[in-house]
Amino acid sequence: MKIKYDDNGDARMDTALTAIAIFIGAIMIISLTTSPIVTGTKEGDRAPNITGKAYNGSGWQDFDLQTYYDYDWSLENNNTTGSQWVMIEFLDTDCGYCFNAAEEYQGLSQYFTPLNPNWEGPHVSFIASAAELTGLKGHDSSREEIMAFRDKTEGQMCNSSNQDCATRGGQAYLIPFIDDLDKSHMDKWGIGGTPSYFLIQPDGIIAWASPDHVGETPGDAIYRIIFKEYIEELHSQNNPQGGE
Amino acid sequence: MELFDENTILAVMVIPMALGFLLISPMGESLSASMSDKFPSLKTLRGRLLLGTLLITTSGFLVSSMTLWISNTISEGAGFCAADSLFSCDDVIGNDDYNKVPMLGISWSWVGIVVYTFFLWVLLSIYKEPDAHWVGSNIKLGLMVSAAGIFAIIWLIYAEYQMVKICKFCTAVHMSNILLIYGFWQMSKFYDSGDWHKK
Repeated sequence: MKIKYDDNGDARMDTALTAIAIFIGAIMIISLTTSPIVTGTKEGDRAPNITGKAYNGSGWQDFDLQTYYDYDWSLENNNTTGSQWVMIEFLDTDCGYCFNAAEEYQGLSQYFTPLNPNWEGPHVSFIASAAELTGLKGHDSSREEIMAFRDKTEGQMCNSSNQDCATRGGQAYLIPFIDDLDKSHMDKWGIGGTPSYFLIQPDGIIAWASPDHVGETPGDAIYRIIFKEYIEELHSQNNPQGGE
Repeated sequence: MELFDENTILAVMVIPMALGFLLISPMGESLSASMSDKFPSLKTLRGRLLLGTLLITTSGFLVSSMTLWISNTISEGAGFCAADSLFSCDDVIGNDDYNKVPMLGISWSWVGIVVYTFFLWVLLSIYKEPDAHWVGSNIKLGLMVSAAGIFAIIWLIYAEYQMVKICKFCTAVHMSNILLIYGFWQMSKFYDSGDWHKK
């Protein structure tokens, strides 16, 4: 049987296949040499970055969340102690729940640190991002109010403008408070309500998101995720043979 | 300087673009004279324009692919070309506020790689069958798409201006697009003159 060739065949189809093959080849090389991680606020996502101004007790300084990260970190590398985890709270100083939760969050911020002899785990850096939830009665925040809330100083009204900020529970914070009065960070993170908490691994990956764990407090989450894993890691180091 | 630092990689990827530009430029005829014995197609303007634009497209495709690779690498947490200076492609490609097409939400890197695949198809088709009846419309198609790329380039330059950072890889892709506009325009002019089919 004689095979017939179509010498007048359209080159556009041939070259379309060639171009698609080149495209697929490039995508395959990229996919085989990289493992992209989605930026988002679900557990396992890379936390969206936050940049802006933060109040640290002495003034409003430039803030960049990425500076907290150690991209070489991993539990497998067993360098948990050398890197810091990050707990971030999204709050509004006029939100009643945030006002009442301040005592616990402030206490936690001073507990999960190597300075505390009762805490054997890695350092957890606490951060707060203060927004102004517009459209709600009494929610008129300001930088002065954020400073008063953080430092527990008198003269500014928090909790829907019903209570002086100095009357909140706990001691003065030692952590940075980010200015998010325009809610840009909150919107970027897709925060539905305050307070919302996120625990971020030292490599910038979200390990725990409070909206997905209703009823679990930030302290419980740190114990469950960091302390348990840290102890297990420490245990496996001390007992490399394992055993029952 | 490391052997495979970002500047070396970019320089290697841009070599075809530079050669392509020389071929489609007015100097192309004299520059290619010495090679025309080995590559007979370079003797004609049509051959030089086709090979030149194809080389530019190859560069554009390679660098676009590289931006996608950088984008993925940044998401892993690793840096590729981060710097505190003005030139930092990590800061540009990794900026979530600007690295996606507005409203569509598609990464600019993906747009680049898809568009250059399209240019590859347009030019390879013409290269394979330069006397086909559809060559004129393919040239026009290439010209229109590359010209539309100007809007994207303007927007991305605006984004870089906002970030006060410049991405060298992105700039190379933009350069490639601009050279392609010139290349397709030359081809279109040559085709419309009726000399395209002259041997």
